[in-house]
Amino acid sequence: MSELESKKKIDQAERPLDQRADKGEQRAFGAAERNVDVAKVNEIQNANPDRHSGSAGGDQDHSLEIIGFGATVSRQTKLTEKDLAKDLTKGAAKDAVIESALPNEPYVLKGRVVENAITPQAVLEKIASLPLDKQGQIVGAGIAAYQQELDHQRFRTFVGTVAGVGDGLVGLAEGVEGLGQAVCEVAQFSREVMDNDPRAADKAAKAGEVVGKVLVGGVRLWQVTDAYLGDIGATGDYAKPLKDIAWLGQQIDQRWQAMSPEEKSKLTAKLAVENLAGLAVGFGTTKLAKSMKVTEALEQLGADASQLGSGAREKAGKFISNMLDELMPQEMAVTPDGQRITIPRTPRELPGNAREPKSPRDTALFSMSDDLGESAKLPGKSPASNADDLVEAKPQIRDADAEARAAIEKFPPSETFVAQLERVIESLDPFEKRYLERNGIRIEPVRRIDDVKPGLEHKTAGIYEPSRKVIYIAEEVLRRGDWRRNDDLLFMLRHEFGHAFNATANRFGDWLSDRPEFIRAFRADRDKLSPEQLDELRLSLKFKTLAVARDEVFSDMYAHSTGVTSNNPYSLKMKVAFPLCLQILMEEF
Amino acid sequence: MVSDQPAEDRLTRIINRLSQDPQYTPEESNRLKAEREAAFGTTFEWAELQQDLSIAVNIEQWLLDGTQGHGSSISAPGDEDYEFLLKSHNLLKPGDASTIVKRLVDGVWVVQDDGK
Repeated sequence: MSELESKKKIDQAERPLDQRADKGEQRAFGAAERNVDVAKVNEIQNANPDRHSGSAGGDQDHSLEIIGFGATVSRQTKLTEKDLAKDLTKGAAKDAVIESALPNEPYVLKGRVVENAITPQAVLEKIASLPLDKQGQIVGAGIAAYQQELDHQRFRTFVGTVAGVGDGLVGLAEGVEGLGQAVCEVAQFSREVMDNDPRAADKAAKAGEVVGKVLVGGVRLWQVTDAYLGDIGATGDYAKPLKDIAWLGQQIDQRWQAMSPEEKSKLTAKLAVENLAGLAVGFGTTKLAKSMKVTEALEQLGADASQLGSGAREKAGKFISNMLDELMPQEMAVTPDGQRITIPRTPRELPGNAREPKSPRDTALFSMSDDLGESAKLPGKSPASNADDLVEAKPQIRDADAEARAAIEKFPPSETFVAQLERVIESLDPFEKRYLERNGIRIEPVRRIDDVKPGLEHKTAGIYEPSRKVIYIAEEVLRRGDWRRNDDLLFMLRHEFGHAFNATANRFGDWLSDRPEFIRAFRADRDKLSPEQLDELRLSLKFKTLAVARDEVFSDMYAHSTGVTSNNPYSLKMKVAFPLCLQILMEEF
Repeated sequence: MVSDQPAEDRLTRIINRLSQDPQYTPEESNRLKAEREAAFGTTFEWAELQQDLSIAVNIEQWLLDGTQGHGSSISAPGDEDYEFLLKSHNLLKPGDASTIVKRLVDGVWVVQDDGK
């Protein structure tokens, strides 16, 4: 017998069984037992371990009935979805559907289909469990999918292969695409910040939220970005958005590093109290406050949180989001008067507050910032109100000396800067140092000028306060859009000395720049300047009075007369414009 | 001689030289004092586009208590504040300079002259 003939016989033998099955006569036995009597059939049915026992009523043919949509589907009434759809269009069937929903309808079996979907958190955790280079590939694929550069079948296959879960896991692929979207959104935000696009101001909170969710999923966004840019290179297909994110991370770290230890501790503690209170663990926020790179610390916090329950993850996500919100570079906002300056969301402590004696709860908060569970709550107060107390303490009226001392104590300049300024002071001529001493003029190093004199421009590097005879020299100055070390100490100190000298030298109270001989020299120099030059040097009367202009010329020419050079183009122009004034201060009478 | 510092001191010599003329009357002194105080609560932000396309900035500021502040910076193309300075000072070509004047009004710095 050929193989072909054998298959033909089997086909013929099975066809009658299929036909009978269509008529509801199929039995649970094989083709060899087709021609048997009723007794044999009952015997075989009784041997079925899943046989209907009759306890729920009905007979064997009613062992399972599905009632709904105006019909009953059972062993004897075989209906398909198509049949039900037809019946539903009929009025009677519609009524039946309504009736079947009545509460007195007994034994209605209801069912539902649950899709076994993979959650976004599970997606992130799966990605986080991969080596960094594979995470980079996944993120890149997510970006491509979001940008619709990959067809979904190829994308799913790629994600499944890299993630090691095989093909067809739709939930994972969708999650990765969502991650790609998140990365693109954060990259777009970074780009807008770089371009000074005002739209960035509205997107900061959203970007922080997105990054927070990614980090508490355990995905170390910036490490992945670095790995991608390092391994695949800056020319990789998705290098641009990832470079933007890397830039954002650098900006965040720079802003963090520009903060004093006290500011870091305070911000961390405040946000921890507001967001993490009630948790049994504090996520090492003290360590975070002391970290050099806040992005790494937040990634670690997110990774730790990813191992916890959804509630803890949500709180950690909010903490990270709010922390980033504070540190995002969009805080270089445009003020109503058109200036672009750093405006921290959390108000910096006023000098008056800084002098506030250390309260037990103040100390307690900082010391407990690594354990921000219930213990962080103050007696009878909510965590939020505790934080408000710390940040919004009312400034008190005090004498300026005490406030300035307290502010310097609270925001101290670095020891390096203090030593550097001491060397610069030492470089003054002996008669200059003697003059300072005899006239009670002090020189004080400060971290930033507005620590002691709120309201002054962040670009201000040095000030002279005549009422207290103090010269303050700043360690950090806002330059090129960021806080940078003051690199003009020698000239700046001598310029401020010039102001102090001008204001204090004459026993009768008049300033030296107002003395007739200096006025004559000033007038002679000034008369040689065109109106345009006077405007450019802001020495025309529309800018300042003659007395004010003379004071500035006196101080600047004094600094030049010492032989110290300036790197300030404006000051160099002044030197060229006022040679006779300079001669007086160089004793070339 | 007005100062009690040693005669050989450079500062003393400057003081002595400038003190040769007769001292002012109280009225004249008060007028000069009032002239100086006219600057209190004022900020001047000068910026100039240099030949190398960097922007030089100079700040002068007076608080209401007479405190005088100074600062300067150079921003190069690509720096974070470069584009903003270009736009805010309307610097179009090398050599262009402008001064933004702000006044302290009810505790808030308000632009009085945008320098354009």
